[in-house]
Amino acid sequence: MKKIFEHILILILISCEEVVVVELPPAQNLITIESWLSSLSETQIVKISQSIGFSKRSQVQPITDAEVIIQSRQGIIFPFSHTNNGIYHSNLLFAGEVGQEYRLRIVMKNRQELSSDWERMEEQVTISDLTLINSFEENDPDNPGGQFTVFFPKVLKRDPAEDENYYRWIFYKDRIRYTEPESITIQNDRLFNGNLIPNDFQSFGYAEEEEIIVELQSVTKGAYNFLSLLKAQITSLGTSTGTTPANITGNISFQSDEVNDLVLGYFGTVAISRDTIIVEE
Amino acid sequence: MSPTLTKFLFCILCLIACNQIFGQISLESKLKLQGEYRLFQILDSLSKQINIAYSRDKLKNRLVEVRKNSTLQSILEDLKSNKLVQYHLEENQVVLSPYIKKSYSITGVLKDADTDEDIIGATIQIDGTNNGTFTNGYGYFSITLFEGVYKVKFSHVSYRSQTREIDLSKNIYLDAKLISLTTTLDEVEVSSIPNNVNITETIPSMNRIFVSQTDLEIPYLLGEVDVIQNALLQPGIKSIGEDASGIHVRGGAVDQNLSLLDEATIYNPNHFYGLISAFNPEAVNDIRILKGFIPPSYGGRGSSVIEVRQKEGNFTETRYSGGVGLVSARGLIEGPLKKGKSSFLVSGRQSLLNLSLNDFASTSVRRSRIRFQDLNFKVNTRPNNSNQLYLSGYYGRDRNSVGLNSLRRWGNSILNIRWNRIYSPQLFSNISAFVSEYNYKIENEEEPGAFVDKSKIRDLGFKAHFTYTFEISNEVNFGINSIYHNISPGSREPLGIETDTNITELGRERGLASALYGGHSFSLGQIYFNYGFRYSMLHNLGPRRVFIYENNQPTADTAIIDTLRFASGELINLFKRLEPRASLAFVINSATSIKSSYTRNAQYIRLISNTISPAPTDIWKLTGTYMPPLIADQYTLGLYKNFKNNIWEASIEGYYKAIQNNIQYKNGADLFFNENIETELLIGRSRAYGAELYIKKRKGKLKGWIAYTLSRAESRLNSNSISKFIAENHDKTHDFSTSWTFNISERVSASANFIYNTGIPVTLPSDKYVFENNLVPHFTQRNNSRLPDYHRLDLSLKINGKKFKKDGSIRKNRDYWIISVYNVYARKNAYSYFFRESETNSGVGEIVQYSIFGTAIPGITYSFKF
Repeated sequence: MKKIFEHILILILISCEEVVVVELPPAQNLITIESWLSSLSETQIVKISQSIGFSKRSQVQPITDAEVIIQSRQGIIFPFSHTNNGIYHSNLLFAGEVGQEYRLRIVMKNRQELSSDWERMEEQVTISDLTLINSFEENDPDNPGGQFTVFFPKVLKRDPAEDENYYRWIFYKDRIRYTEPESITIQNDRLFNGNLIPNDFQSFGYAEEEEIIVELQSVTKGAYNFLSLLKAQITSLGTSTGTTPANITGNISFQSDEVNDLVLGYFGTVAISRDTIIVEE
Repeated sequence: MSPTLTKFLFCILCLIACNQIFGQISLESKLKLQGEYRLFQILDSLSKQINIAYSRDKLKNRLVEVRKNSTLQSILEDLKSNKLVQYHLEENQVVLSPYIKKSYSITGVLKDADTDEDIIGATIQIDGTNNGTFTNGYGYFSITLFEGVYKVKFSHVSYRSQTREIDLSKNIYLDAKLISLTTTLDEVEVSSIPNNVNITETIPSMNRIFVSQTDLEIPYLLGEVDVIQNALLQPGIKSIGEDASGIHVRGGAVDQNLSLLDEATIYNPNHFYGLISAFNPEAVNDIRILKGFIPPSYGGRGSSVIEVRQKEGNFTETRYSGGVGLVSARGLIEGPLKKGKSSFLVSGRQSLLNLSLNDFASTSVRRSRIRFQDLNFKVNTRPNNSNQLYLSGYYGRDRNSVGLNSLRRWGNSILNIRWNRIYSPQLFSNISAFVSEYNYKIENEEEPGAFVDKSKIRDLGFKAHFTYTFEISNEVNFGINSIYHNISPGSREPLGIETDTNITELGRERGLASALYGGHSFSLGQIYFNYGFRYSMLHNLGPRRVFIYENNQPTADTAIIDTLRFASGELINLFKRLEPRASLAFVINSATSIKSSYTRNAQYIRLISNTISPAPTDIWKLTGTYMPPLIADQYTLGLYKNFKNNIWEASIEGYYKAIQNNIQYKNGADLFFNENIETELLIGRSRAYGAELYIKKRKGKLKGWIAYTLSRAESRLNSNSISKFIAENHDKTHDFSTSWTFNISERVSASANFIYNTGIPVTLPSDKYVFENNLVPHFTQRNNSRLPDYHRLDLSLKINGKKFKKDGSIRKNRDYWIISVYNVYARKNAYSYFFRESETNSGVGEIVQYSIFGTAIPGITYSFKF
């Protein structure tokens, strides 16, 4: 009986979404940069594009003709080359070194120079344990009345006591990364400094026989703030619990005082720790 | 000299028989005469024989009848009782002076004839004059008049008016009782003419909601009678949207409303994330919303006072009432503890289902669900006519499960003890002490580690208020308020055994907010004045750590250069503000007045929230080292006019409100568990101005009102003096609402609301860009556009149960059904826009209009009373 009532309520209170066309302010066409220098020895990646009007039917414009380098505080330069679609690969495999500071420098075709702030590669924090101890029955949307079992990862890590630490978690399901806005998972250790922390990730559900890869990244405070703002701006806008729309301030800017344009995006350093498990009952 | 008078004087001369002699005669001397004389004739003659002092200029030479066998004393007494002269005896002289009328007071408590409950906000008018007063929040009234015979009329919108003839020759305590309209059998309107209190009232811009009466009948969402929904139909009171908690009064922020239940502060007056108010209509009697002039006895918030009074409890018999709707069930029991002397009331409300607003379509077990309940009680005793004692309480809880392992609970609780005393016909006092607490608790078994978060604000308060009435329309009010705030912004403890989370507690804040106030209201001819002051203070008290920042600017936690530690009870800061208040009403005639007011309010406590609508887990913060008190100055000017014997009332009122030290937030402000929260705040200013038009029909088969507000609310930061004012999130240029009830038959009435307003501001993106495969909107200027206009029609039908039994006798039990349809024509009103990537077209941005209610929503409730 209760269930029937509940369904009546659901029916009558259902909210509604509709795509609308609205006149927008003129586009600013800003340079956008995305790059996370990792502590793993691999091909490092920088993506450069240009924003376009929000309502344009086309994709954002890749920038394919920039000169790109990553520079370390010690003066080592890592050059990058364009591959395709605004994606630049490092010419060599290399790893960011923990404790070292790096910055990204770009020269545009019109010789305008951009540079990020210095970013320090933070101490790597290792995953102590990855288990699958929890599961729940989820209603099957394709089969009304049916249910299936969902597993989620539980990860232990030990937070270093001496520093302020900022983390980001990344999850892969069968080698495919969760990239939805909601899956941006960040933490700071304000509330658990120096402890062994069990983390239950119920937002990342897995079925039997799927492979889970969990990546724990140590990031800077700047990157944490950027990601936190990014997540708020792409997940909660428009809800009553959402924040007000705002610029997502990054750490890259034009070097010349004559150019006041904002540069969107972020150059960050991530010290990575990984663990893997296959879901078995 | 006439022969009669000669005879009279002769008699006086002859009949000396008493101890006290004035010249040649005594007081007891009998005068053998009768007949009519002019006063001066008598006095002139007397003055030759006795020592008598008087002044012709001041006495009136009226005809005086002297009865047979009168003595000198009886003549003097007759002159006195005819109000011609007063006399007194000084040594051996009779001194006459003009008669001065004496003033006496009529005081009393106006009660419901059926239940003996106090009637709040009734008018007491002296027939044939403009003189009148109101019963105060405790049903008490006092009118001081010259001696005489008066017709005193008691009236109230929910009661049948009553006129009583009173011979006022001494102070009178009047036990007046009115009969409720709901208990009268004939729904035919009582022949009384509505009063014109709205014309003479010196508190302009006040809205009143009488929960007991017709205000019940208007259509409500899901049929749930709700005081806040009702308030939103009044001019100048707005909310951001259906799903938003809190109201904005004349452009003020949500935390600028002082919500009082009996005397105690309710910090979160909502259930169900703002969809339902915390006040159970079953237990509530009367609501006043003061949005313009705020009398000096209230303070501490910038924009309004929402004063909710609980019912008193029935003094004569035990009654039950209640109701069931789609969302909740409620019940009330009230009755005498000792008949006529003391009463009690207990009322409760419980949500019926696990409700869920967001994500309704989802059948996932992880969707968010909510439940709520509340409990009200009151005990009331009147040991005698001069004293009344109350004990009242409220406990409300919301319980929201989010996902599988997270549970959030929050709620208000209050306990209030109050003592009303009448010291003399002129002096009335209301003294109360209360505890008020708002807290929330989050239990989370998810990342990072399982924990319990707790936060609370607890107030211990004391109020003493005195009213001294000199005469009609001339009274002073004075008193003190003091509230000790103890805020625990947050603590986190590990949940369960395997967790290793630290016990973390943010520094508590303690402060004593006090005020001393005085006010005087009086009239001069057609002008009614009400002025006063409030001297408010906040003592920030230790123990507490205060961070010192470089250049004294709390820019970031890295700018901390020192930490000051204050011991328990040590004074950290003292803020003081003088808040002048003044209001005047110029009554042009009995149906027209012009009113103007000025109010300054200082606010020492703020809700820290950077979401569009406040969340139950937002914390309150006291004014302190880096957050100066908010100061709001409001000016109002209005014209009030009644038509057709006060059946129609109309007003137009303009206001301008300037707010200093308004809080704003940095982009992406981190407010959660932040020890250095001041580094995330910016201080700004805001202003709001507008005009409100209100037309109401108060009587007849068709009753209702029209409210229209033209307004603007905007703000800017202090730091940037060239920055422009930007529209606030709740700014609505045009806001129109109207509500009507029509009595179709004795048992059936129909009601309708219609609302139209300009869409609220929205920030539109200029660009889109991609970061980590997510499409991100880029914004240039805040609130650069508006949502589409909002409009909605709601209808309801009230069907009363039968009033008579089959045998023709009257049923004691009452019941009725209310059937309602909210959003009748199923308009998809925009609540907000989402900016997201198209699901079908990768890389293409979409603007999605989100509507909370995409359809018409029926509701049904059944209510009873027996």
